[in-house]
Amino acid sequence: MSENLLSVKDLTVEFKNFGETTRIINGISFGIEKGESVGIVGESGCGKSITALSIMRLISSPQGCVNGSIKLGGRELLTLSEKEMRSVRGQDISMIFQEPMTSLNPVMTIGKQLGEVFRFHQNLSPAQAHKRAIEALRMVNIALPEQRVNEYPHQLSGGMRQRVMIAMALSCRPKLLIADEPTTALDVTIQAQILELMAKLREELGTSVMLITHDLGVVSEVCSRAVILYCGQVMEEAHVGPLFREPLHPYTQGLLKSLPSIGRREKLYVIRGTVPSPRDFPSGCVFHPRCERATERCREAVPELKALEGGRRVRCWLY
Amino acid sequence: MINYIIRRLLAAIPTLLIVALMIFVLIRMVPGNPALVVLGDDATEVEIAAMERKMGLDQPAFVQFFKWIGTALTGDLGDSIYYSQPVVKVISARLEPTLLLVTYAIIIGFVIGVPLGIIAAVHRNRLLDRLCMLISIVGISMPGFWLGLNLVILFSVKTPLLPSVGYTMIREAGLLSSLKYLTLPAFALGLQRSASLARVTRSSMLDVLGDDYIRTARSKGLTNNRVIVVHALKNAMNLIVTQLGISIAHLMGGSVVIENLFNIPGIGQLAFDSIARRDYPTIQGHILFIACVYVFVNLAVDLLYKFFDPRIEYN
Amino acid sequence: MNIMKFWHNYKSVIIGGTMFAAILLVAIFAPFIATHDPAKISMRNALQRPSAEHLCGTDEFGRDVFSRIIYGARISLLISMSVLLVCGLAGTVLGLVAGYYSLADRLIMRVMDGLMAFPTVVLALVILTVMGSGVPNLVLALSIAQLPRMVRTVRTTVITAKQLEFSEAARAMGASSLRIMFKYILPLCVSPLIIRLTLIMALTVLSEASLTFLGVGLPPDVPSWGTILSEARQHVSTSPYLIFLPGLAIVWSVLSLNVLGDGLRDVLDPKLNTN
Repeated sequence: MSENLLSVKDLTVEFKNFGETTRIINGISFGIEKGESVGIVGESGCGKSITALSIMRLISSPQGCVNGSIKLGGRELLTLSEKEMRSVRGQDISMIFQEPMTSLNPVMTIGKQLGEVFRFHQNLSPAQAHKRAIEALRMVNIALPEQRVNEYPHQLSGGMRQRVMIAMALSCRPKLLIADEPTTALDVTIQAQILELMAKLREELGTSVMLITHDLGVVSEVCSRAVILYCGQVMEEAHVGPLFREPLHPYTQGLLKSLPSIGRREKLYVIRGTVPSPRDFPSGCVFHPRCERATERCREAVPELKALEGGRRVRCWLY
Repeated sequence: MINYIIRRLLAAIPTLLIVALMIFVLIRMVPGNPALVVLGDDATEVEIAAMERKMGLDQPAFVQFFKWIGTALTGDLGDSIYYSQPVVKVISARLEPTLLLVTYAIIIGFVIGVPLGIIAAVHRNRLLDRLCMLISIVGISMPGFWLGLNLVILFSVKTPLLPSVGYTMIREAGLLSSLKYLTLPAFALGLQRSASLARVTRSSMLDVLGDDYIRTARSKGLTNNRVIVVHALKNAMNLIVTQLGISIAHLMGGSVVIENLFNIPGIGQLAFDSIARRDYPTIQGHILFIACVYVFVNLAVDLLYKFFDPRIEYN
Repeated sequence: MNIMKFWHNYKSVIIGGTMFAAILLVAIFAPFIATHDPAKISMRNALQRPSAEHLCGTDEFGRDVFSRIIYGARISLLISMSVLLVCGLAGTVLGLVAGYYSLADRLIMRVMDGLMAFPTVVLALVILTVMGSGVPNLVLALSIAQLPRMVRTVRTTVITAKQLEFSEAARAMGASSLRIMFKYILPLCVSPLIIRLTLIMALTVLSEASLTFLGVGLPPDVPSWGTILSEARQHVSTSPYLIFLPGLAIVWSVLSLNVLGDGLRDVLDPKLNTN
């Protein structure tokens, strides 16, 4: 385990509502190394976004209760004061979100929104921040940045808005970029452009990337490692190559089988059943109701996350 | 933008005409002959007929109506029966106290109400929120005049701080003196407005605070204050400005009771007295004036929308 | 659903409803609750402070204020509920017509816009001067003042329902009967109406108080809350309790309606719910 930039250990997130407590995330542990790109994969509702928001400490308490350990460069984030955490956000860790349409303030110019990061984290004057904003737009390949910088978000296309989000996130050269489904809301051609841009910037700036997605295709292109989440738990973790060649967990196998591929003429595979709501998580192994290879043991006991060779980990009674 | 303003003003004309028609019809239904009111009960038939001719009452109703509209467009609203002066003069003499009062009240309403609503929204569902909202809902449940009376008890009777009746014109005793007389009435009106503004602000802010770009702003590490004031508030202004417009409308109406209570010689008091005196031209003029004020306030509100939200296009 | 959630969702309706039911009961059982005859004049006992004998003191004519307030509840509730009836009916009819026939719509809405340009108090004053004082005329004046909002609400509902009807029919394709359509559409129509009516009643109680405070609309011997306060005006320096207590009655009634209205809005129209 070389120096992990991000180290998440036993993260649990619970939400309290009218005296009822629901556990959304149940003991997730994983790490991201410097300069690495890791994909957090899972279907909708499995807790991927909540994980990201917990790392940024954007979960509002007292309804949300986060426990465990999240360390950035050895520094524990969960015990920081709000003021200290504010200087981490935007500067050490940045986040971009799924909906570029609504993630930018509609009544503020692009330039002002970009400039905010510079003014707050680097104490630049408005004029300096304005200049840096133009540079940031250039960095993400937006044409005519001097003009764009005074425009409003509704005057830009979806792809351009996502570029602006990326520019905003990377302008202070953060150590970690969390990207929550950055391309899901975009057209396919724009998707490719955005992923390319992110890869290029990652190389130039040496930023680690935590890419949250349900799309394994995206993971295979952009990430070096993948963590498969299901119902708030890690099911499998491996380098992308071995994961795709030889998926171990039945859930991963199901996800891969349901990817459409050119040439295959069989009916599209679907994992039977649906993702349960956090209030009705099954006993034992959370996946067992939908698993083709489930046994009695799977229903009774929760399997441990077992470390195998090659840096792989699996949570399944089969191993 | 000038085009837009002109178009809006033109579109308001049919509404104003309908208002004028309604007033005209209503007033004409009031029992009692204004000629008699002026001349007194012992006037002869000949004198009454002459007075009616002089006041234009002998002509058919719709002729009277169009004559009135025609002269109104030239700025002449006729002569007040009671004051024997042009209605325009009578109204403008009493404009100052009411305008000052309404402005004073709306400022109080805004300055107290909007921050209260923001605080409530930020501390959603916690003690401060519940407290603010309790005060607000009690505030809109009070009659304005009762609040006024209580303020008089507190600040005029128990502690003789502020005057409870009367008014001095600015040119007589200066602005400060005028404001002193208007303070209790303005607070009576303004505190009520602040209650409704607080409620609207809170609900608008809660709406906005759930939007995605607020999450983005927080993820950039901005302070909570900045997120609320710079990012959230500007987006919430839409609904708040709408409520401001409604508030101004309420204030113009509410001023009748408050001016009566505090004995302020404004146009609200004028309306009340004119109705009692059957002073048709003054009543008509007053209501037409209020209707025009509404048109302008609505227009100003629409223009303010654009100021706060650059997405709005004028088409 | 656990009790905490139930309370959170329904507390406004429960509290508002209970408060309103209380004042309603007071109005209905006034003769049993009032301690004295509200009209009995007794100059010897004029302007007495609240005591065990006179719970809210006496006014300038020696009349028991508490009893006057109790009977005043009858007046205010009678008037405001009558306004609800008149305004509700007239507004529903006009709103339905406006919603269905676009030609009538333009005319009706223009007239309603014109009406809304009148401040409520001024409009009511003019109407009352035209028609004279008295409960029926007061009800009419206040109904007309609240009419535009009622018409607007009904019209919006009808227009929404019209769109829904067609889409429901398209989806249901013969399988669902008119009954099922009413199951969806009627609740949608009824909720905004109920909320609007609650708010109209609240505003009417306030307007009626303002008008009677000005001395307009009701004869002076009728113990409306506004009238009581109007009489108390002159004694503001000597007998502040004359002002404070009747006003509380008004606040209680209007507050109950506002809380009820808020609660109903939360329950019936979750789209408007910001909690």
